[in-house]
Amino acid sequence: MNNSFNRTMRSFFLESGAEILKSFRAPEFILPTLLMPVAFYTLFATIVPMGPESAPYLLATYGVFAVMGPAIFGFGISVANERDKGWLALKRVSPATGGSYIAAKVLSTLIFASFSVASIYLVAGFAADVSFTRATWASLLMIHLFSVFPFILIGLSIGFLCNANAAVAVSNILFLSFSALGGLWIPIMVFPPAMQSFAHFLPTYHLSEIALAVSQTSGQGDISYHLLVIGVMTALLALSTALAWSKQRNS
Amino acid sequence: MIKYTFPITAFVTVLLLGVLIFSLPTPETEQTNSMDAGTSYFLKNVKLFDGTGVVEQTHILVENGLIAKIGIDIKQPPKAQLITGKELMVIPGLIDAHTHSYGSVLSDALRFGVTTHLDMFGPEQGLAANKVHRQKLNKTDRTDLFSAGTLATVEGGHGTQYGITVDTLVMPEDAEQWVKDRKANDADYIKLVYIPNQNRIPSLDLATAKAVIKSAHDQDLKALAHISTQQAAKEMIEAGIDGLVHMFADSEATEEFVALAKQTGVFFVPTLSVIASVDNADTSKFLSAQSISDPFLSMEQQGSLNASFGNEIHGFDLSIAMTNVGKLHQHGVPILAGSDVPNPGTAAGCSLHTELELLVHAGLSNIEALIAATSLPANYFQLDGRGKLAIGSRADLVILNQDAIADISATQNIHSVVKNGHLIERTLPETAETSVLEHTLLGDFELAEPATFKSLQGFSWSQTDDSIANGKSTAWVKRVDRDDVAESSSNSGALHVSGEVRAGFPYPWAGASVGSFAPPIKSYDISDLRTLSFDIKGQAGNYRVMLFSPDYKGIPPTLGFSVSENWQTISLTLADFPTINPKNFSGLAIVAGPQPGKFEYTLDNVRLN
Repeated sequence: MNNSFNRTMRSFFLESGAEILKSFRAPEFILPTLLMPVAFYTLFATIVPMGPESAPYLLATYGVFAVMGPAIFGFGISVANERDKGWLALKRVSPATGGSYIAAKVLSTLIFASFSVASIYLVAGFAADVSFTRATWASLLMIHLFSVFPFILIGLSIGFLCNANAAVAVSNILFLSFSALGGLWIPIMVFPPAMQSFAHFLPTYHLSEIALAVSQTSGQGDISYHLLVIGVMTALLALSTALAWSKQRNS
Repeated sequence: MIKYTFPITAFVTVLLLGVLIFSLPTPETEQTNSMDAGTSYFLKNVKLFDGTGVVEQTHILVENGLIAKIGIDIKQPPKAQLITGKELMVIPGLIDAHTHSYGSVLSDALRFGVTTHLDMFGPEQGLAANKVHRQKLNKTDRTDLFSAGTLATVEGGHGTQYGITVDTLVMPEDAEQWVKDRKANDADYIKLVYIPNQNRIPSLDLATAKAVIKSAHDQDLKALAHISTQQAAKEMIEAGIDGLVHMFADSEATEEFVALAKQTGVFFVPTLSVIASVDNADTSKFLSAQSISDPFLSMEQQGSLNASFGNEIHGFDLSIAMTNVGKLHQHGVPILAGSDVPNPGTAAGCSLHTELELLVHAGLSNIEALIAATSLPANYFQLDGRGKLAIGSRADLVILNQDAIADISATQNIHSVVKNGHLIERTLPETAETSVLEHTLLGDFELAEPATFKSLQGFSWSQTDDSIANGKSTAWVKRVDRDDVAESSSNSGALHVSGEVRAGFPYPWAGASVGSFAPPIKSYDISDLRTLSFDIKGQAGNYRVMLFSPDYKGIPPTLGFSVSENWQTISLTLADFPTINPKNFSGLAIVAGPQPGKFEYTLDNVRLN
């Protein structure tokens, strides 16, 4: 028992170490997903701000944007790639466990998401004059880091269901439409009413509303509704990911 | 090695996140960090009204945004800047208990010594940012804002006509959630509109109004009401309202009413300034008229002061309102000073000074009027550190050249304004150098593309529409040949403008503009010129000319004209444009709207003569 636990931990540390090294050795993949959110945020919060409240408002929404990139692309494209090349099949016959493969990816994604969010906080705090209490900064960071999970599940489903080429396209479509339609780039209030209602179907909208409420920038009242929806969405995504996982195992 | 990569990276990441969270700026750290040194003032030998009483002669030391010391025996520290003068009087920064603080209202108010605004209806966006802003002691050019956010009204009711999204109520059951939403959107108190028994505009019914008051109290918020009749005021007081933000001017308060008000402890913000404007009353007999002709008035202030409500509305009699203020005050009902700026006939900042004069004419003593704009609202709205000048209070103060206890209009004779311990620049920002313009051609469209059309130096032609203000209208411009002149003629070019005006912004527009719209803004002095003329034809209808000035941020001076399908020359007299500032002309636009629809016109030979 103890022996098998040690084996799993060892497998996990090796997997996660390799995952991180891969990202450092092939930075052309991870860099854009790290740089784009902070570049966008700098542009809209400090260079062309739309109002005095836009920097703190956009901080809440761009934080969600920042974690979405590493999650959707890190999982969607890389899992599809590794599956396509037969790497996953090889893993299944190796002593490595499937759990440690996923866990390694989740944790390395969390690390990259942290850097992405941190870079935006730095711009917000030191260039855009955003100031919150310590507790608010900390809870906002928690919300943003937790936001990574629904997107990881989406990325995993893409990775399990699509081949490498399709995964690039699908990831991009989801990434861009979630960002734009969920109100991550531009405040949701400026959308026409029909688009505002549509946003309720997107996890990005609910996550950014929770972040907005936590940062008290433009709380839309009660966040329990958003928490409930995100909970249900995450559960459904977990279910669909499990289905996709078993589908790819059987194919 | 590889097996240590993850634990090390994870550890470093968590560590860095921890460091980040503890180094990001918080409201408190900003306060101390950005407090520039040398903002220490020593006010020597001044008369002090501290919010409640008078000290004939004292010194005041202002340091780090706060009142550090007060007393006749304190010494001037070497680094403190000395402020002294003959017969200077220091009063707390004034509190206006009824405003609508959008646009330039907050900065205009501050230049007149009004350092705190209690907004009674406005957009809720930005309230959170204002909350952070008002806690700081930084140098600022804005008055601090407390706000009701939006107001409680019904669909189509008072408050819904201004183009701001208003979350309306239908029935008493809506009240609890509605108040919860206000609280979540950072409202500081609740305002409701209760104007029953009239057929001009729908209003909350009594049951819903009562439910709003109860929900506000349940959630620890004060409830205030907009009323216009004695009956409505009585019903609100019986329902437990905390304050009424206008004085009714339809009938004189009865004995019973005064007794009821006194017994419940309700306060009034009479807003005599705006009642005077609705009533078209001649207030010149009450006012020293000093602040109204003040050189520090911005274009916006002059614009709203000179504006009027237009058609007379029944039931607003200034003399009745003043009688009521006098009666209620005499029986000990608290009266708070509020101006309802920037409604037509009032202007941010200066109207609070004239409100004080009106209150004095209604029966308050000079010192009571000062209390009504300082410690009294601070007490009722729990504005800690404001409205009083004591050791540790926020250094928001007005230094007067004259004694306001002897003459209330002396509040308008301002020596200087101090906000958060910093002296406020009272003069209006200078705009870029202006050159005097003689008659000139703004565009004949003979050559090239719109952006390079020949015009004044620094001016260019382009399309303009309300999409820059998040509206939905669109416009296109292109150079075309005139169909009525030979191509060889030197007058063959014209500008074709087309587009569609769509609802989506309170004052939609679309058309073509010429001028300087991006900083550094180039402006010209056109005070020697009399008319604007141009040739135009197009889809028949009404169009407008708007004039721009770099120091004007609200609705620009506008004049309408009509277009037919045949070429005609339109000539508009510049003096007819309301609130035009001819010394600082930075451009104009010829536009369709505000009524929605498609339009097109062709324009040529735009001249100023």
